[in-house]
Amino acid sequence: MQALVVDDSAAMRRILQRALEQLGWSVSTASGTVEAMLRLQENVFDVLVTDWHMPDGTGVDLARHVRETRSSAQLKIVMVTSESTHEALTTALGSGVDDFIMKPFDTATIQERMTEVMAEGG
Amino acid sequence: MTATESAHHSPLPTPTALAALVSRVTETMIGMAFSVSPSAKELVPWQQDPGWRTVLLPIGGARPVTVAVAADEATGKAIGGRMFSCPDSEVDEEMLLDTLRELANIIAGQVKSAMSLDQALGLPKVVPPGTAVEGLWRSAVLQPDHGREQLFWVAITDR
Repeated sequence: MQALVVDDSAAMRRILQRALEQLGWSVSTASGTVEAMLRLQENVFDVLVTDWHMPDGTGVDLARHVRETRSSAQLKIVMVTSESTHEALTTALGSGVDDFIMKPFDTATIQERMTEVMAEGG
Repeated sequence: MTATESAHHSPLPTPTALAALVSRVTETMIGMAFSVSPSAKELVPWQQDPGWRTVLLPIGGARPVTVAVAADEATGKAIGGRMFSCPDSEVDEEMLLDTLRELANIIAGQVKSAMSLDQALGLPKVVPPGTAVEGLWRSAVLQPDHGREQLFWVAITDR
């Protein structure tokens, strides 16, 4: 499995990368939406794991951009976020996000959820 | 009562509630629990000398609220070491600040839920040492349940 983790926090990138690599996945990282779009042009990924609020844009905008060219069957999008209001989550789903993982989380939780998301297929 | 009216009436979390919110985050993410320090005095982290780092995160909207977190260097490095899975001694200044910014984000998300605030989280900002920060803060000085003499500060204001 090829994953792209997008988060402006180096700590969160490290936590997510370690968790997914323990699943045997290959993980690339990007520190913002601009870098993520470059990575997506250069490589093929199975899943995009993105933060919501980043200094150079939002995960919602990134998801909208991705969905212009890739369907959920081609690339899953999972948002890792501290936002939990119904309105916010509805907005994210409307942008093409497939699933959420709410912060705070532990390693086991993120591994279980990511495995479930990828098992759901397109 | 509408959601907005409810938010206007939600009281700010008490120091004990703030401690519980912080501990929920740190215990889940890095296995480190905190509680209100029984012995620490009130402190103003941006006036502490030396070594306290402070991060503010605004939650804008109908009822603007700001959440602040701060740590002395030892505590910041202890938390950062767990976040980055490295020895405390390898946590540099940027890693420490990154850790506090991320904690502020997650703790603010918990505050939003606790206060039923249907408002968007802002981006965390580091307060340069010595910079005065306005606001009438409700704060708590926390210490880890297990460990050395470390202190973590969390606060909230709506004024």
